[in-house]
Amino acid sequence: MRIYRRRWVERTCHTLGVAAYIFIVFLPLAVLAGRAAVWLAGGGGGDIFSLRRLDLLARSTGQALAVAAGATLLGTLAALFLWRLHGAVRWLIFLLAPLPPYIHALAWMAIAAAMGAPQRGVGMSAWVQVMAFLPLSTALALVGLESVESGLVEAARLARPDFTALRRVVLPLAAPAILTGSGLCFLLSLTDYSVPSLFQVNTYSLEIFSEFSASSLPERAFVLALPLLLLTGLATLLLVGGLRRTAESSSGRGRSGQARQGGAAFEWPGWLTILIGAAMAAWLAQVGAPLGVLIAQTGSWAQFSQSVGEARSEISFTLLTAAAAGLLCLPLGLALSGELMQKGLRGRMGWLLMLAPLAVPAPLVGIGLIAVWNRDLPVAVYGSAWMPVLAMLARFSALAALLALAQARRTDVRLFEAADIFQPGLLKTWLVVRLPLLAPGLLAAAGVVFVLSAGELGATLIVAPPGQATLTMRIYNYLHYGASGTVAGLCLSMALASVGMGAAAAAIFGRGRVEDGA
Amino acid sequence: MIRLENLCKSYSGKPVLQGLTLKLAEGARLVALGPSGCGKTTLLRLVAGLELPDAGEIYLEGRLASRPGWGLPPYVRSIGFAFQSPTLWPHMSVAQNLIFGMNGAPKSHKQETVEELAEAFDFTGLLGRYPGQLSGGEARRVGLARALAPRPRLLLLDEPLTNLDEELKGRILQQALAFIEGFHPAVIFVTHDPGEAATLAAAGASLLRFAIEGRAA
Repeated sequence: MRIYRRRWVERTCHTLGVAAYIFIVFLPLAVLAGRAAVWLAGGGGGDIFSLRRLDLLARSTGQALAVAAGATLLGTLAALFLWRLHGAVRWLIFLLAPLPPYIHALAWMAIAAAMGAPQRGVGMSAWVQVMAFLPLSTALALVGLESVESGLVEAARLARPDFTALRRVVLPLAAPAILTGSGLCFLLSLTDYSVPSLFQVNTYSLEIFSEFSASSLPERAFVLALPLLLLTGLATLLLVGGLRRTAESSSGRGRSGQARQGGAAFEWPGWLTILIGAAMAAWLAQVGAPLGVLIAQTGSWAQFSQSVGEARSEISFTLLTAAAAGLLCLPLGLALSGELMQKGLRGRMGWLLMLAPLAVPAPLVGIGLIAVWNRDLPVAVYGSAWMPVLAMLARFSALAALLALAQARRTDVRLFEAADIFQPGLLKTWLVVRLPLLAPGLLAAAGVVFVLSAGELGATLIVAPPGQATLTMRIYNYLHYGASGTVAGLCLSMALASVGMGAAAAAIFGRGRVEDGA
Repeated sequence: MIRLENLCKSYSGKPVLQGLTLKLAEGARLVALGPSGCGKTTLLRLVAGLELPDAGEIYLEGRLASRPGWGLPPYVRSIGFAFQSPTLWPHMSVAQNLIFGMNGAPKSHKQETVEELAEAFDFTGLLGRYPGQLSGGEARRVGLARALAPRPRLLLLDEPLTNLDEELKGRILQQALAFIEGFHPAVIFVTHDPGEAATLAAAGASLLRFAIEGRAA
């Protein structure tokens, strides 16, 4: 009987976790959809779409495609360089990965100003987005290259020149991961309005934000967002298979590249070596531009201290909300990761649930939360710090699920099975065996969600309670007036926090492979 | 055909091959027998150019092929290599896997060779299939056939029949030996199985016994 009770408790906890995830992520959208349906049925919506807006959607899509193509090309070339290196040094390059895009924007604005180049326009906006998404595209390309079994690469190298082996064997096998990176960059670019708005480029995502700001009608914003949701939804559907395959292929086998110490080096054609060099130069710019500009513009320690001191209240609010999101995402992510491990249709549905938040533009998350919580309720959620926390959870809990899944896959399943056999108490099994084994992935997830939440803008800007703001909101507001010592100091503090937390998360996760100790 | 001079290789400071010297004439066959971890696979990888030696030199047909810090690229060495696992490219069909290494040959010749190999190794019905659709034994046969397809001057076989049952192992070995009669490559066959070594020795191969740490005995 005890075993059945234990299973029942396990299943109930799992179901509650998944239900909470669905509630937080999808309820705002469902409420918006419901209100929009009623509004449309009542004859509303006739004035929503215009040729200008459709043209804007086409241009936004074109820019997102260009950003995805640029980030994929540079990321794949950089990954080819990193693939040939040994050890953890390859991953050092990703230290600045969690830096919010607006910090890249600040750096490149300052560089453009110093060079006398225009600080606005689609070209600048696209370049900054490429720089911001480069770590993502590089990381996925590297995961793809390393997931190709070394034997397959060597068999190809015996038959054909290295470049042919790369073109005919390595790249086709790494393609799912590379294209997944491409798709993610496309989605992130299409749904981001913060960087384009700083370069005075109008995008469809910004139009949704503006529509809501002007009308205060969530249903208008939702109907306007529908074509964008259609596009991002399609892209998400295409991504499900690739991301699933990437997650499965990156968990088990050893790395390829120069798999064994002393292996013969690859010989690329001269033009490819030059392109790889150019991609690494872009990488250096990706790291060097924000750090160099922020340090130079902050000027002095006194200026830095003053900027941070003036933003004390925003920093406390950011720490509070991001820490709450980092903590609360864990039960949601853990429950959803169980769904991701399922086979067949259920597993596919789990991956769809996980990826769906990526398809939703950030402003829509904020607008949806207002539609849900702006009403008389026994618990006052609207207007409280819970609103940004809910927005952060809606946007980033899926990443916690992905990291929990990666940790579960890196842990020898027999260790869990042995615990189930020897320890009948569910709570004790979790506290003594499961949680300690999953801890590296969960701690890394908390760290990553903390950093992303601290840098979140699109939804937080809409739902932040009156009189309170996150550090990111303060920086964003300042950025509209151009770069200054104050904004550089704030960005530097944000960058240091992001890099510190990102490095800690990477170090914890890096030590987290758990094998059978026998 | 092949000359190894005082070849040394270590991994993380642990010597795997120490001062191995060896000559193999054209068409000669050599069976390298020894326990796991004694450097047999490393020997093949060095000859193939997948690794570079720490000391010593490798000559192929009188031409320097490898020395510390330098080596001819693997694909110019005219080598056929069958790995311990079939390592078939999963995105290519069986026929495409066989053709990939026959670079520069006319299309008709490629087609003939594919059919010839499929018949010799008993997989004529599988040419359009992908590696994921093959059984373990079928994949091994295709892996071996792929190594033979370009009719290499040197054939390196790294325990290509491990984990197959004795009857199948014997049959595949006979099929391979019959096929190479047509072009007489030099062969290095690595195994830890004395039975396999004995079969090959009976077919005229010389025996090279490896002890731990790569000292040929």
